[in-house]
Amino acid sequence: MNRLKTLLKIAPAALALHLLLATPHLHAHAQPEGSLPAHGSTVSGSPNRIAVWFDYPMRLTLFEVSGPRGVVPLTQGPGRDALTRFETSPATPLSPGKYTVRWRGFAADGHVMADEIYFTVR
Amino acid sequence: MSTALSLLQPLLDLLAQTDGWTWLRVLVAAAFYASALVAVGGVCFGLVFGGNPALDQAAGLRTLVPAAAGVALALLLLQWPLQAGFLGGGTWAAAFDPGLLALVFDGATGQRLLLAGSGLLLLQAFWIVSGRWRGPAAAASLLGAALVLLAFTLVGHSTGAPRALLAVLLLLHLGAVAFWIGALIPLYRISGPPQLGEPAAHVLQRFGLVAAPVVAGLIVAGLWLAWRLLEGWSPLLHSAYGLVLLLKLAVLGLLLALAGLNRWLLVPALVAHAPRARQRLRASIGCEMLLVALILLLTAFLTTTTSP
Repeated sequence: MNRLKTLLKIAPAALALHLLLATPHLHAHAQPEGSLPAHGSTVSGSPNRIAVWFDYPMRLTLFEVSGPRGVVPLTQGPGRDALTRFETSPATPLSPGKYTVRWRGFAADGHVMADEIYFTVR
Repeated sequence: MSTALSLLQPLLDLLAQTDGWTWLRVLVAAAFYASALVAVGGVCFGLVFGGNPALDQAAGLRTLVPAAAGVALALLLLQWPLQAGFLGGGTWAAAFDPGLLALVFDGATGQRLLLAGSGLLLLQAFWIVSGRWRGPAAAASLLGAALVLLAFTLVGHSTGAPRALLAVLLLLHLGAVAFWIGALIPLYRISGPPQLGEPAAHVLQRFGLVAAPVVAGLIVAGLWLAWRLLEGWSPLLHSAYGLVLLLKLAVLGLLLALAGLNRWLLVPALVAHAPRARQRLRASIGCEMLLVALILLLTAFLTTTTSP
């Protein structure tokens, strides 16, 4: 019991040590660093490539582009290997309108990640 | 009004993007946190404050710990297809897609599932923590509690370097959280029957003394983690993660106020046999439970829907 009380008393000191020693090493989960077309952008004509890239490896499980005519067929889907950049192309040219890229995947630290990117084709 | 709305915009955007499948994952994660921490904390409470047969019977930990661990195990297993389903676009077909299930099981998430599952199974031993089996059952339960806590360190920020140090200190942090949360139900139960007056008051006083440094450590660690993850205080007001975290800190503030009220007013009133002290203390502990549930829900929302 006394030993437990001592342990509980030193807990704040141990956490303060955590503060001092671990500060420079923490990092956030893998984040999307950019996309092509860029989020919120307007492009003239159908884009040849649609891509997303990350700051840490990501295993993509879903990469879906939808627009005025529903889900857009793509030439290549994600292969579920860990990657920092995924790139594909529309199977047919995109008609003018607003598009949403929806992706989901697994970050290296085990967290499930997801995001949506919007762009407009003029 | 418009300034307040613009401050809340990142959170409103996040809420608009959160689909039904994600809400289901949030609810299941929050329920898993709650049941696993009640089980782990219940073991700690029983081993630290147990020993009085009447109090032990009133606390009911021998049934509470295995029951909470059983619920946590079921929720842990449910998280597996829910995660696969989300990765596949939020459908039940994706939830039971063998490829996606294998993908989720492969790596840190699978290790977490195995470790936490083993720990929760071992926690069932608390059922027999009496008589000649007391020693082995207590050891198995403690091992189970340690495995469950260890499992939390396999996914997320603690996997960064230096991993060993982060994992050890995260274990300490989670142990303190479990100690606090796991004590609420037994404290509520033992403060009920009037015939337990003296021994119950003694445990309540001792808990207040032991919990003080634990809570102090939680505050230091929580504020520091928030500052590190957000890389300053500014994102607290300008990101969805920061806003949810701010909400969580506000609820934590209320929880600390209640804990202070219990320690410095309501428990001394109970010890002094003040009128209605017992009812007031139980009402306060009940409110603590509600606030803990809200904090766990916000934590689950934070870890499921967004990142710093």
